Amino acid sequence: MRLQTKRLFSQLFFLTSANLGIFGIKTGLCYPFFYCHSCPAAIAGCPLGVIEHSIYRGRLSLSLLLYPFLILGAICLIIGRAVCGWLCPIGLLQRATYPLSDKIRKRLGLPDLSPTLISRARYIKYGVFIVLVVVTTYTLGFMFTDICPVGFLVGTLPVYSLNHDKFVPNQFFVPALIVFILFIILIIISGRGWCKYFCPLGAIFALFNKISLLSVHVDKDKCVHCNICVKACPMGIDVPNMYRDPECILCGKCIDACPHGAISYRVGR
Amino acid sequence: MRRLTISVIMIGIVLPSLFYVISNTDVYEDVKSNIVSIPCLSCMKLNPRSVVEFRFETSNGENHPAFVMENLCSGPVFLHYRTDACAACDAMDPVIAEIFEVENIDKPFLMVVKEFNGVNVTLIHMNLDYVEDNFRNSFDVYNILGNDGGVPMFTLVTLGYDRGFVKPCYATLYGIPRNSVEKAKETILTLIDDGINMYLDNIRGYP
Repeated sequence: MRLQTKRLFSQLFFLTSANLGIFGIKTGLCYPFFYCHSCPAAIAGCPLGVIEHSIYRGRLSLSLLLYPFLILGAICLIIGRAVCGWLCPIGLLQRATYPLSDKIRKRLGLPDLSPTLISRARYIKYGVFIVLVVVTTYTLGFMFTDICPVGFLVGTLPVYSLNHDKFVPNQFFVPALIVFILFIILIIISGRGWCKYFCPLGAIFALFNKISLLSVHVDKDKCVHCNICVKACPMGIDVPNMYRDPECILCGKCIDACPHGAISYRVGR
Repeated sequence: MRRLTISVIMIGIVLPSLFYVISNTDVYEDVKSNIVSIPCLSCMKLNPRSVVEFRFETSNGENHPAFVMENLCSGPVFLHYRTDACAACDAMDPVIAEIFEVENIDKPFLMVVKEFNGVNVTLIHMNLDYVEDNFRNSFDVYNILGNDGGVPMFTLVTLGYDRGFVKPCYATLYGIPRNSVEKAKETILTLIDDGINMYLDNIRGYP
């Protein structure tokens, strides 16, 4: 079975697992990826939501704060940011929109972003995590969750569409809808744009790529710098020159694409 | 090799710590019973429609909690549920504080009696992230929307007449009723007024 087919099965498996709450199963775990506990079928808590709960308005609950980091840490220390590539349902959504993005960008004549701008824009997600998830929650009480596009997609939209006679939009609906529309535009015109630039969980996962047991390795002796892998990489990484790049989601597209077998997964090095 | 050593040491620290947190603290149960099972309605960006409808049957079929029944002897009981990290709860706290003339509503638990038109109404304010199980479990007793319900939630328990018997009955509202803090105050005051009238109508027949 091809690597990308295995990845698709993995993503579908975790999408299904994330929604087992539809059978009434609720756990006290945190999702190790981006998914919202407001989803009517949610089985676990959003790690960002738990972090927000733990520090809300200066009330610090250390064990609650530590909990999502321990869950994310336990998984990411082993598989690194493969969580984004193999587990995350939002990753699956972006995988579905990825083929569209190239066509749409060409049709609209959108220019490619300069590599400098791309590399700088990647730091936005760290800012989103620190400012919107941590600082504003701790100081103001306003939370990322209130405008979260993923929460809107998997929580608000299903609940509202299934019960539109029971609910009315509240004051956060319109801002969240605007952010959601921008999110959809982003993932359509920029393949994996959410993962690359804005995902606050991606910011946490990225740090683990440096020390995770699993990584993508490029054999410099076999590599002929044909750059086929660079074209295949949905995260826009300079694969031949990368070493445990924080942006690598270990999707394996470069491994499949390399005609010389120079790229592979490695464990422990 | 050095990197592998660091990874293994960190895994050796993280996994036992995670096991310790799950087995020796309340975190797992807190996440399950508060964050996963009781969503924050403002985080959901939705408000349930505010329809005041008094019911006799509790939503989960359980009896009314003892702490409600004790206070019901002296007048209607107004239950106010919230959690941390809930913008709508923050918006509604001052409304409840104003109605019941309390200053310290940021406390996790509060029980206050206020007289409305000569009838005592007991406010029981509960932050579900902190209160004990008997209070927390009462949320499910009055959560008429089940999985679609959330916080903030307001329940007025009073007395009603049902097929020859006077029994406790309740009405539940959610979120910021009618989507505005001013209208929410009106709606809650109307709910309290209705509850008081029902209480006065039925108290003589209450065993």
